[in-house]
Amino acid sequence: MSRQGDHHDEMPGPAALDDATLEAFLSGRPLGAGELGPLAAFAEDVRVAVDGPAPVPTAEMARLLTEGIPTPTGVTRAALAPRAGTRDAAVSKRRKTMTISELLAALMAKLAGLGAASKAALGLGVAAASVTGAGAAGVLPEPAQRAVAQVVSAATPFELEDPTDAVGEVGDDTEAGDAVDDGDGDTNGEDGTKPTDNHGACVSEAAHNAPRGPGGEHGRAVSAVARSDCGKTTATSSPSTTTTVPGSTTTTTVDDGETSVEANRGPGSRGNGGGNPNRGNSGPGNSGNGNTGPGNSGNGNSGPGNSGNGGGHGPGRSGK
Amino acid sequence: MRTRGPGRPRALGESFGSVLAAARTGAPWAFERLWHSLAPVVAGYLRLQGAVEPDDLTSEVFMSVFTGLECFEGDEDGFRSWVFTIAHRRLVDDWRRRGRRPSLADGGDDGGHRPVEAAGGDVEEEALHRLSEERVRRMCDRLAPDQRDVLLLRMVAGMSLDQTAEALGKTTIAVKALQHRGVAALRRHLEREGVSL
Repeated sequence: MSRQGDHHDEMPGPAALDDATLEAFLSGRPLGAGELGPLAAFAEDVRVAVDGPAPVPTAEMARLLTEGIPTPTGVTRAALAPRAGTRDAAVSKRRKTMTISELLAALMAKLAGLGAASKAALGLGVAAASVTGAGAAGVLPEPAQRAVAQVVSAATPFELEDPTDAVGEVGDDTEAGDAVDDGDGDTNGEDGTKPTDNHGACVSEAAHNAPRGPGGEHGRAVSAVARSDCGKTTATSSPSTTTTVPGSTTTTTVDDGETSVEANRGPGSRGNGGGNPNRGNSGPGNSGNGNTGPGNSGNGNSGPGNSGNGGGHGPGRSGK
Repeated sequence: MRTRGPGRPRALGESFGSVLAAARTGAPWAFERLWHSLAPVVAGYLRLQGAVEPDDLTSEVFMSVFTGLECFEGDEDGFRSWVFTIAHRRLVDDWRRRGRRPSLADGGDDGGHRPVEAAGGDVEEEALHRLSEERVRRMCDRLAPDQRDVLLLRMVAGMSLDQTAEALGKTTIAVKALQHRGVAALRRHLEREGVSL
């Protein structure tokens, strides 16, 4: 019975080499002459056989060697590398609203260049990725959306929709119209925040449920509800402070000694957006953000924090 | 007197870290440095293993390397080992695609040799190169495939016992046994031929 690696024509021959001599032969160290002369000559032949100029690259490889690796946005990674005096100009030309995939691809390219310590610092990862994904989708509450947009704008050559940009960049080539008027007639504050109440849901519910009798009874009922404080928290009718925390995008409303419902918001809580998830609502408090908080968004699997998923397909595993 | 060992790649040395970092950002100059450092010896390994189109296969290997740099962590020695692991697996893929592991004596239409122009047009040097390559291929063809893989990865790629074991998906003990038997077989064949190489 033959052992693994045995060959059919193996015959008894010279004594086996000791480990040190074997290692010397395999690693290319001099063996000397005499009995080991043929092995030394073979080692020299191996060296000569593989010594030579670089092979002629294929067209694809040649392009890679001259142009670098193109990113999904059509810009080579080399072009994205920081070069003094060119970044701002490049940024101004590329100002645009990104898709989620473009954003994440750009962030991945950026993150790939970071050292281990920086990556560790990004251990905030999953939450940040969730927020970024939600920010790219434009489904965060506006204060949070603004914070995410500012962070992304500072860290990458791209921009997300920023509610304040619509005012501050008139004449720029951003798609300002997308970011401003939601057509709800809402009177947003100057800081771009909306009342985070459920007033719209209440009005909508009234519109659905009010009796539709003759003489405009339905309209009057809905109008009365719309003018009332229906659905609003006490915070919106009293002096308050709204604070956006970038790390958690938590909106905390501080009310004269009384903690409102919103003060309980934090990563992981449910229904953070304050909106009414019911379908068909169109009021300013019903923008469908009910599930977009950082702890419970559905975007947790799409951010850079999950980049390790691609490792299983690394080139070193081909054919396996 | 040549001082480099068999098939030693052109090491980048201290500049390796910065070259790798630049290559990770997609910088073409860094790709070119890595290519010129390792592509010749990778192509040589593929030729000695009987690859039908070693140059094209080398390009395929480096396409995988350059697009997968984010998967690699380590120093230059580890990088060389990683590249040769990819090269060997690409080679095995190529054999599977073609349905067989070729006899090294076949050598393809042109014997797997590079054209003279690729060696810089030096006819004498190219002739010596071809003679050396033919002798090595002839000897390797007499080894069992596993023995050949181990000896070439160790001698051409300069891989350690552990690196070779990892590349081939074998245990270190198995690789050590293969290299002992491979070298013993090689010595017998060399003596039998009575050739002073």
